[in-house]
Formats: sequence, structure tokens, C-alpha cells
Amino acid sequence: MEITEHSTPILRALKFVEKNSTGEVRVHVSKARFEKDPLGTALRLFDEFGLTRNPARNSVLVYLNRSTRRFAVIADETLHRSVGQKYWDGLAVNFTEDLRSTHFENALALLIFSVGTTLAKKFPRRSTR
Amino acid sequence: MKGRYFRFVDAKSLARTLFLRSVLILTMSSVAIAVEQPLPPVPSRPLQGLVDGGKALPLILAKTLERLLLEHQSLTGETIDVYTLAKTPEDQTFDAYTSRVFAEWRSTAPKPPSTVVLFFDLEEKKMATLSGVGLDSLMAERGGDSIAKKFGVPEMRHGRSDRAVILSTRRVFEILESPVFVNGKFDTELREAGFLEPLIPVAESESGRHWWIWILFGSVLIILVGYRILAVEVHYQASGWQRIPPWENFVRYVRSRMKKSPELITGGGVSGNY
Repeated sequence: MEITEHSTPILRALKFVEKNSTGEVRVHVSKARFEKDPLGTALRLFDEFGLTRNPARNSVLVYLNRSTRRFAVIADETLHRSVGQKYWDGLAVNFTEDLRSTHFENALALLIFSVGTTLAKKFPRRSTR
Repeated sequence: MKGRYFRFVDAKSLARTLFLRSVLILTMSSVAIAVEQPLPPVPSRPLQGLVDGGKALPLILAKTLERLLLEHQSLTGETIDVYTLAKTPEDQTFDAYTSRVFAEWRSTAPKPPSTVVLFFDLEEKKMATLSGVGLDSLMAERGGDSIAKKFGVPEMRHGRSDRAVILSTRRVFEILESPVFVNGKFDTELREAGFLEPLIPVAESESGRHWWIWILFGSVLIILVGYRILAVEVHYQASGWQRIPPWENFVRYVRSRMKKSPELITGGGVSGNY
């Protein structure tokens, strides 16, 4: 698959995460109409893209379906243990508001920055310490 | 006055008595006539095996069928008879009449137990297949009971009594594994006699007309697959973004359907809508 490096708000946010933490964030945007469970799809994608193979177990996948207007955010075990479920619930509330008020790319970028900031605190890159 | 009165009473009662007696006598005599009147005789068993009373078959086809029936009889000793009726005689039911004819024909057949008789009532679109002691178990075992339902009645309802007779008789030949059928002579002779119809019963050939359901089903499937292929999916990671190629997207979808969803043992997540 050809990877395009054309800069978008999402890519800038992802680069911020990569630069400041050992965690990895991925975003998957779909337009599939017949989807019952976005969380199940996100779990499959999490597995499919090998995010569980990160030794620090602090990867995050953000899944957004623009047809069904549903989303899911999945985090691996180490990150989840350190932030707790409340963090994700709060994040979902903010993300919902952003999706309603701005373009989806900006909303995703804001979400990624938010997660990236948390990752930078909990799992900072050694060079930035 | 008194005497006249009595005379009057006597005459009236006499008239009544006479009337009642005459009614009684008439009733009794009609009952007696009805009881004693024998049922009309059934036709005797045809030597050639076919009585086409309903004129179901063209002459050349009837002659061919007779020849085949006779040949089967000479080769196997079993008799197959065919009887078409324009209509069942009045005051008799189809079942009762066919039972009477069968009993009569069986008793006069060369080898009584090995007899199969096919009856067709062309007006009522009824058919019966009756078989003698020697063949009834074989007929029952190989689906002889369903000949009327599968061949005779549907063809008659479609106004094709000739097909009803030919296809039903052909099926009996097939069930009995007649040498005339096994060597292909039955079909060949019928073709030569001008019976060029398909040998599939109308009920089956009609079921083949449901092709449009398959086309509809196929179209829906193609639309779904096409949709799945064209569904846009984009994946972003720090190094860049990529659009998942359509075919790969479809393969991924099929794989994901076949594979059980993984579980993150201690990870967490959240979902929502906007």
C-alpha cells in the first residue's frame, strides 16, 4: 500500500504523538454503511494492524465511521491501566462535541493531541525526558 | 244421517288406505328395482393393453403405446394396462369404478398378480395407478404412488392428456425396469411416433421457471460485494495515510467475517455516536 505523507491535521497530531511518547496512535476512517458494532470493528482493526505487538502495550486506535456517524477508541492494556475507564469516557464526550461542531479531521486531530498529551506524560520518549 | 256419515267415513279411510298402500308399493318396488339393478358392465380387458375411451392419444401414438405395452408383457410376463375415460360413469365414483375395472382386468390378465393399471378421468382430471399383488410393493417402494401427483394430474390440468398418459406410462416402465425402457426403445418409438415433447413433467419444468429469483439474488449479492469493494476506508499513522485498495478492503471484510473478533484482555475503550 502506498503511504501518502501529504500533511493533514491528523498527520500533524500523529507526528506529535510519535515525537513525544513511546505510545502509538492510529486512526481508521470508514464509510461502511452496514456496521453493527464499531467497537467490534475497532477491535478487529487493532488486531489486524498489529497494534498489540507494541512491547509497551500503549497503542491507541481511533475508529470513525462517517456513514453511521459512530466511533470507537481502543487502548491497549498498559495505557488503559494507567488512565482508567473514566478517562476514555471523558474523551468520548469531548470527541462527540468536536465532531458535531467542526470538521471530522479537526475533531480527530484534537482527540489525538489530547491522547498524545496523556501519552507524553505517562510514556514519554527517553530523549525528551 | 248416521248411516250416511259412516259411509262417508268409510270411503275416505278407504281412499287414504289405498293411497298409502300404493305409495308403499311404489317405494318398495323402486327400492327393489334399485337393489336388483346391476351396475353397468365394465369394459373387458384390452388385448393390446390400452382403452383410450377419452381419446387422449392420437391414433399413431396410441398404436405405438399398445405395441410397447404388448412387448413389455411378452418379455416380462407383467401386464401394464392403460384406461382413459372421457368421464367416470354417472352414479359411480372414480375410485369405485376404477376398483371394479381393476378387479375385472386383473382376473382376466394372463398372469393375474403382476398387473399395473393406469386410469385417467379426463373430465375430472383424476388419475389412479392400481397394481396387483406381485407388483404393488415394488411400485410403492419406487414412488409409484406419486405418479398421479407428479405426472398425470398436472399434465391433465395443463390440458395435455396425451402427455399425462405417455409420461405416466413411461414412469411405470421405468419403475418396473422394463427391458423396453432400459434399452431406450420406449423413448425412441415415441419420438418416431411424433411425440417430440420434453419428458420432464410440467410440475418440474415450472419449478425451473423460478430463474428470476436467482437473478435477483445474484444481483443483490453483486451489489453488496460491489458496495463492499468500493466502500472507502482510510488508515492514518504517523508516517502517512493510505487508502485501503478496494479489493484488499473486500478481502479484509470477508476475513473479518470468518474470523472471530479478538478480545483485548485488559485493554479498554469507548464508543459513541454523533
